[in-house]
Amino acid sequence: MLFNSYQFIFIFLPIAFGGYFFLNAKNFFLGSKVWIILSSLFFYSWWNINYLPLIVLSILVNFFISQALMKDPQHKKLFLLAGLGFNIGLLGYFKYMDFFIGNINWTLGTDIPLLHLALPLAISFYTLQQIAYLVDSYGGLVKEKNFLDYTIFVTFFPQLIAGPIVHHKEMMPQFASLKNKFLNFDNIALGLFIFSLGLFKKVVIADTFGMWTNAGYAHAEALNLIEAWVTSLSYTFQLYFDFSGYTDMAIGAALLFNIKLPQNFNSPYKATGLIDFWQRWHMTLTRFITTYIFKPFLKALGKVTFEKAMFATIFTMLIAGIWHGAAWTFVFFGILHGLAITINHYWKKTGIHLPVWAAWFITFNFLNFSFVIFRAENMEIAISMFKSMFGMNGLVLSEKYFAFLNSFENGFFVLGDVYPYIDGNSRTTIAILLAFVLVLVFKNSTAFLREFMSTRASLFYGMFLFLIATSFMSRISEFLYFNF
Amino acid sequence: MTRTEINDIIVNEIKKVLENDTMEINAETVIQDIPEWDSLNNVDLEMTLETECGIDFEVGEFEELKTLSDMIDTVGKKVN
Repeated sequence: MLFNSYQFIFIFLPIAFGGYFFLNAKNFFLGSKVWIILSSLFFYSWWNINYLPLIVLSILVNFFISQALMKDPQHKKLFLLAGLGFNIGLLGYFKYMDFFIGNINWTLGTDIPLLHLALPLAISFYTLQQIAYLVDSYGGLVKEKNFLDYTIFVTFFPQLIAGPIVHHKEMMPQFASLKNKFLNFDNIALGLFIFSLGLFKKVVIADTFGMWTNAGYAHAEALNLIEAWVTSLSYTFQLYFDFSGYTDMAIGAALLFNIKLPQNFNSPYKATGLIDFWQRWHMTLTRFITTYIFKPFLKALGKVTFEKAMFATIFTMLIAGIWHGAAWTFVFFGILHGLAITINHYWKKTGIHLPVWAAWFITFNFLNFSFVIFRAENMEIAISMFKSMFGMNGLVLSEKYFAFLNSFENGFFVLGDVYPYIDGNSRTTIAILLAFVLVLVFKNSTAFLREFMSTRASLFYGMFLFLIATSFMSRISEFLYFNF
Repeated sequence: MTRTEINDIIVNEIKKVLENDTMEINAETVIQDIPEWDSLNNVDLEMTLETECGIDFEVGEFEELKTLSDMIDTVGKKVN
């Protein structure tokens, strides 16, 4: 069930919420646990019930291994390896098998048939979360003995599908707290507000840019210079508003249940460097890869040197790239970001400070180019888009506003319709400019969360966002991160 | 090892990696929030503590330590 659907907002969420607090109010805490698990599994199965056995299997196996790990510390390394093998194997099989087979066929000239497996929803997220849990259990940082609690940790519906990627140790104390089992009107006001804000970001902003993105990428080879830049920027904005909108809705929905999910975005497009960017973008993923991939890998290399750390950075970002999907574009995206972070570290060592605007400009343009690779279905389309962005298909300016330049028309520059392929108009240009203002000037939702006060003004503001957003909801669209 | 010794190791290392001698760090300073602090500095600090105090952090353990005093507490427990 999508957060941005009438079924979720007007039927599922009120029932899940009402049932949970009704059972808690009757002191039937076991019942409320079961209720939230069943609600979450129902929420998950709404898409495709065929994936339900897989997530249940994953939960059972991981819980079983964590118990064995605790009961038999002498063999805990063996259990950890088995657990990692299971999780990585499951993800590898469903997500990467066809990519692997395809590449084998291509290199060896063989003809092994592809499996054509659909990616089970949320598998990339619940796998990471459980890997972190197993490693934490191995280190004695968490001790979970209750199967229902463990299941809540994995399946709690606000964060189940696409994060934030949470840690057991930050979630379970919140569910255990007695105070959190009863209605908290401050959290409800705050949750509804952030949910509305996220809904607005998703259905009004991201989906609008999404139309131009999709149309533009369908004709990457034909776009004129401005249209190509508008297409690439549209995707850059769509990606942020889509994913951070989703995250706001997740945070808002969880707050209704008195659960605080971790922050996932901190105005990433204000970043003035690539290190800075990854500290602000999909922060729970950064936290995961830093803790569970980068550091153990670096430590395994022996005595730490700067060069080894840079190598570990590129390796880690490569994994992060592939995590997004099984395609060479993601491999390339990961390596590119790894290299950029490395350059950023070398730059820091020189001690030279760029003016803030220059640092921002370089960072933002790097991001925008790298997101072309991230978005394109394959490298050919990405290259076509780059060519178009560099003016290989000429420059078109609007006849309406630039008629006075008509004597300059030549093979490269003409007057005419600027946005023929993406079906845009002057509002498209304005939307791009407004989006820059939104990401560069406005406070982010975390700041809203921190400074929120349940006043009449926030009520009106929240209602306003909610009403506009729900009126846009007839054009239902999935979240981009559901594909990762 | 005394708390002061552990404190000095941490504070000196932070000043060293950031090449900043004048910064103010107190017990309640959240290390991750120090401007310019990044994950590489964090590994650096973790490894320095491991070597100089002869201890081992579990994977994910060091990330949980937010303030300087959290770090001193945990390192203190491990060495003594």
